[in-house]
Amino acid sequence: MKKLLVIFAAAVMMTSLAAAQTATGTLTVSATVNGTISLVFNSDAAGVALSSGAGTNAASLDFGTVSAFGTLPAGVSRPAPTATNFTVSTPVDVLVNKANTASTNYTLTTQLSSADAANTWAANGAAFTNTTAGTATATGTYGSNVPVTLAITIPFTTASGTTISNVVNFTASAN
Amino acid sequence: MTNGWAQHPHAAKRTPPAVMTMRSEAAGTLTVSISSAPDGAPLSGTSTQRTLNFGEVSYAMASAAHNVNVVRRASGFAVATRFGLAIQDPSAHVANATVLAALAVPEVHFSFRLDGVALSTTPHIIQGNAKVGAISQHLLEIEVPNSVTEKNSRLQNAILVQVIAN
Repeated sequence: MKKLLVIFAAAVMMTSLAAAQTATGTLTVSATVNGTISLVFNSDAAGVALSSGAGTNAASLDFGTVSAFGTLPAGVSRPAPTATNFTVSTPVDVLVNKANTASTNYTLTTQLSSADAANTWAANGAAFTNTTAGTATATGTYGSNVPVTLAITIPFTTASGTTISNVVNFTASAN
Repeated sequence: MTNGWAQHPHAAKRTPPAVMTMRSEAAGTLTVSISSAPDGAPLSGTSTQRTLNFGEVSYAMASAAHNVNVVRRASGFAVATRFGLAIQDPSAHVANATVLAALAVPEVHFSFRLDGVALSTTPHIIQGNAKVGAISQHLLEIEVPNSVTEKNSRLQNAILVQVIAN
């Protein structure tokens, strides 16, 4: 009986030894994931190619030389002029991607960066100025190029050789 | 004879030698402490129970914000940072140790990797021969898939680090 007790004590000591040869630490990790969407411009196959910035969110589009009745650059469309002005347009692809959001579509608005007192601007038929945004689409599809037709209506009173330049801010908002 | 134990009534009394061997080794006591890495996100808490709060993270977040690196992929993004691990043996009996890590609770939405080793609730060896007395740097990466949305945007888990003397 005495021998049995000695061996039992050894077993207890073994457990104690194992505990002494290990150490533990805990690193609690936390984070909050925010949903985001991104927007980039791409050239549309049917429109004027972006002169710079394709695949980014800061691109340049040059319509080239346009006129009411003359030949237009490739990719530029022009409906029949009215009695006082003419309109040129071209499609530009807008690609909006989403991450970590349950949003199923987005609203895309456009707005001029600075005032244009002479010409009228529109995206997908929705006019916009530097003070009033226009809604190009209210149900944009994520993950695919969405063509946005950018149009400028130019009055006949504009002097030949006049350069038209402005910045159009596109804003995509998750719905 | 009971349960395999038997003893002759006149047998000499002696202590099993194995007990003596274990007693001498029992003097070694390992400790592990977790610390912020110089290029890692700041940790709070005590040395054995640290807290790493990434705060708000997103696919579009700036890389290297608060020493957190962001790797963007088509399937999602990963946030990564480094932290330090120091193993000490005040009695100087242990020279090397094995470092294991496990998650405290199962992770459904996020994937944890420590030094490239995927973590789960089962301990995995992170370092097989860590030098006792030195501070080692470890890279923690957390994968956030695109499928994580507002409904499951909160990440909360703990990494249990265990060090065993070699």
